[in-house]
Amino acid sequence: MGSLLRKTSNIFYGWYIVFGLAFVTFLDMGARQSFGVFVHEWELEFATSVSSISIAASIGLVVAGLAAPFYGALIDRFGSRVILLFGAALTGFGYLLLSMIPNVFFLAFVWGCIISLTAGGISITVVTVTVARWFDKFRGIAMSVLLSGAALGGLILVPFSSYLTDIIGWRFTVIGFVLLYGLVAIPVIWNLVQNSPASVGLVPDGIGDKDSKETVNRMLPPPLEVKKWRSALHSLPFWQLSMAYVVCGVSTSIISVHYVRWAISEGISSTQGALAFGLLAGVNGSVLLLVGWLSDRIERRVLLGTVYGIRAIGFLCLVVLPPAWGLWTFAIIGGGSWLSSVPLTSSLTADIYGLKQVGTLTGLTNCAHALGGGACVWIAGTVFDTTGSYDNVFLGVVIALVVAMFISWSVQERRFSGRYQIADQELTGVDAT
Amino acid sequence: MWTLPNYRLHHEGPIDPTLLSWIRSILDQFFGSGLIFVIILSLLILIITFGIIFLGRRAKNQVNENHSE
Repeated sequence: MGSLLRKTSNIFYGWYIVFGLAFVTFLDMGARQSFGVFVHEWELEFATSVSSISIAASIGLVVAGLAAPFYGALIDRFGSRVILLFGAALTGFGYLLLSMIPNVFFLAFVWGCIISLTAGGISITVVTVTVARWFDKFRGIAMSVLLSGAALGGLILVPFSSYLTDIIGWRFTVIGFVLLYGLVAIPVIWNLVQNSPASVGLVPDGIGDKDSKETVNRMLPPPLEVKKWRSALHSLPFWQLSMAYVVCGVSTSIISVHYVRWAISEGISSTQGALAFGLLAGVNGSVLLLVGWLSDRIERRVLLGTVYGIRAIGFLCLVVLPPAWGLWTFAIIGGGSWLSSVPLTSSLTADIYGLKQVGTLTGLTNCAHALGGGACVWIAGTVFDTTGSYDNVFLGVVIALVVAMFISWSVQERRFSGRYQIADQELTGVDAT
Repeated sequence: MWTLPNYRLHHEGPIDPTLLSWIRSILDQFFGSGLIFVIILSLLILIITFGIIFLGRRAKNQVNENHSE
């Protein structure tokens, strides 16, 4: 027991925050993705159509995307702890309202406006920015561990919601979410999350003394560090990362919505299509951790470009290979590149622009990701309706991903990133103190 | 009312209804009505919550002690 105590005490406190927020993200993503479970229940109870219910989901996606930069700005101003606490509390309240809705109009208002807006306080933007402030050298793997919670949330909690709905009905299941936010998410955030390592006398990664030359060197601001987020708009890396991230949103959103439908259109059973998608989600989690580990060791832009390149190959397989082969090949290749772009883009944003405005900037890139994805999902559906095939859509995505690959590779990370700046200064003997 | 094309916009994220029904069909073989699954997962969530908070608070107290020294 004594050795256990000693071992526990040697773990950097930032890792407790990572695991705590990964758990909160797991719950939050599970609750949000349970929307699909309730569609049939709402359809029957409110005597409405799936299309009408879809409006609530669509409004929610737009609202969540637009809210991301504002939440980012709020974190930069007030710190992430208070935003996370308010976000969890208000989202819990939103689910309480959802459990009482009388018809589909209230669904559109409560889900589309209230929950989607308040859930921004515990969104990927907020948790990644929180973790970015606690890590520097191990930022990549910390982000990946954090996001693995999001990947698992859908796979585990959605079946949980499905069972719970069968047993106690959808309204009490939603009240179960209220309990998850009130009794799990809020206590975890309250007890664990601190705004920054400096607030408790630590340094990022927990390596070295805060006054040591090595730590001071490591904490030097990157050349493009911005005090006002607007300044970043005048620099190339922000646009490079954002443009590539829009393509990321386009490719993942199209697959999320159209993959199983594509499989059916190619004569593959929906069960097989769904099974392949399950494999994709499973591969995603393990590769996410590998990419995070690698990103702390090699240039993140190289990995980011490679991730987009691999995803382009996956989409190409859907077009050129026989459907059955394409289905499984994409599940493995696509799964390997699915969420990996998120920790890489968030880390690069923090590396290049520093931590002062990283919330707003990450929020802006996430907004571009969400809105680009939402628009192209609709376009892809329209093209399929017109041509009867997804080939043109997937070829378009391949071209966009290849462009995103080259854009990512062209980011001058060694010139602008804080971590290479420091290494170069150490090599040339610059005394940062 | 304004209608949207039915392109599975009714779900969010990677879990679509077909995948969910497939996962359910596997879990049903082990958990029947699902009550056991719900109870086990609820207990796991509680245990993990208490575990994370307990370990995190202990680490935070230690950090605070070191900081005050």
